[in-house]
Amino acid sequence: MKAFILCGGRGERLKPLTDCLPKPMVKVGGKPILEYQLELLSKHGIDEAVLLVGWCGEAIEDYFGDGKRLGMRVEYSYEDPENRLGTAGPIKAAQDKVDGTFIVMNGDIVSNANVAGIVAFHVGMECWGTINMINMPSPYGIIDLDGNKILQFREKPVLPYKMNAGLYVLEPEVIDFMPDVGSIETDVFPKIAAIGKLCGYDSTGIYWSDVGTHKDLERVNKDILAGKFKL
Amino acid sequence: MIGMILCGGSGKRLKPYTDNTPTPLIEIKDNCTILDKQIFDFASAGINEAILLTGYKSDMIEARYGKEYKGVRISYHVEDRPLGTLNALKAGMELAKGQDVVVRNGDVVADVNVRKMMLKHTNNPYPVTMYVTRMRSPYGIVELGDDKVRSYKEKPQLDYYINGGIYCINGDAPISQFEGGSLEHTLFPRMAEINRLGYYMEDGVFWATVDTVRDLEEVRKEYRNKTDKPWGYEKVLISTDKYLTKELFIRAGYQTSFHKHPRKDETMYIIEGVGYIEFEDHKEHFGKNDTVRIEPNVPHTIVATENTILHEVSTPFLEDTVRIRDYYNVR
Repeated sequence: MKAFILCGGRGERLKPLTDCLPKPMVKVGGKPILEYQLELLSKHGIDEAVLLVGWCGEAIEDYFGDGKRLGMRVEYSYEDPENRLGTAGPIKAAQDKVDGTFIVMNGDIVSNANVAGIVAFHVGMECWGTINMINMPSPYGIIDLDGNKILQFREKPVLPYKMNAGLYVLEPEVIDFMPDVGSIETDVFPKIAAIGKLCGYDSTGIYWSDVGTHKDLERVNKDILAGKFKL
Repeated sequence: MIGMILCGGSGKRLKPYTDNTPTPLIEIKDNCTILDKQIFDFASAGINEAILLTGYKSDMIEARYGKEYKGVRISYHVEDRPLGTLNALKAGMELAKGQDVVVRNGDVVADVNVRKMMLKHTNNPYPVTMYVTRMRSPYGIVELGDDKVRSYKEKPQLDYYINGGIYCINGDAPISQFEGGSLEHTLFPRMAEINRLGYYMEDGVFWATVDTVRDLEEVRKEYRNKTDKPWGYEKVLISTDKYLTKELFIRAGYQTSFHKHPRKDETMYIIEGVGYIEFEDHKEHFGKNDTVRIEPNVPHTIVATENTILHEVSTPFLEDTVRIRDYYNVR
């Protein structure tokens, strides 16, 4: 099974780190984010990856090459950084590399998701897509109201909503729903859900963090040092 | 009440925009900064005096606003080094000399009805009132059915409230007895603990913090075709040589100028809200889904009793307004 990893984001919120480094190459705990993702895949028996790169994609290809060092086969699909395709477009542009059920990952997430478990669940569900989900960690303090007054503040709690954790198992049928330029989250998933072909796998309890901002980066670094995140 | 704006932060997360500019002076559209909009909001709420609590690049802020801006008298408290929002507020309260204040975080762009919030604060028994806004999920939310996903919504609003960054505070509130860095970790949770923190809620209005480059992009997108008015805003949705469509937002309790259009023939379609259109000799009430036509040269004002959003479809004359009377000191 192949994993397609979205690596074309510009990483605006991680400047100046991303002034001349693509976001998936930003290091946490001494290693690029993307290297953790490939190791996670490899651990779960996925040994083929297609890196959907764009701005500064060469830096990614220079580092991972054909993937042999990680025991994987790594291919590349380039988008024009001046004409970015969103989160669905790069997958569609690489559709000739799709050879059956495939995995899609956002390139800015550090997690120890049970990839093999998600794939096994997907195969049993007859869905066209399975989204990996976790209970949503609120980035904001939550206010509890009581009548006319504020009862209390809760510092960044986990809320009882299932959120998209940025990893999907998809059937080739889903590609027909993808625009040439557009978002898998807003243009594709709502449609697949509406026809009853979308499933969710609850991974609440795993380690999960996106690395979009300097604050995220600090937290993940700390977690790795403290041993809170292990593959 | 006196207005007060917390605008001393260095805007670290908005680099490179904040290399040469403090966050409050970042433009949300051409020649309109976040602080322009905030002071305009004060003026629209009938506030005529504001204290800017500055620090980082205060000289640039003082140079832009001077002693008066949009009819609001401006004074400053400049912090030499960042001591947190609690200390800034303490200094501000001293300058306010016991008067009640409306305090705003300097990075919030919002269409909140500040006048209504002040009224709510005056009428509730609490020394501090916080504007609370519904949280928008930064992530996609999956809603499960029996075994499949029932719906998928990207970044929807959730049924949880967060701090909206606007506060009404009584002049005699016990600010000076608190110690620490930020209001979020001192004044607000302590006041909530002793049941003394009220709130003001206004759902469905634009609200954004400009905290990151992505936030800024989203606010600029909102302001691409939007012009703030003392009564709300106007967005030009489309303007061709054959027709013109605008979206108007009129805050509850506000009204447009009394005006007429020499050439423009327009029809209002009420998307949301309640109010009336007042003509020289009669009123025409409207509610959701109503349409009202106004022919050329007929003087009128649109009055909103509840927050009103309407689409105005008309013949194509963009600049065709003769104002007969304005109800506000700012334009």
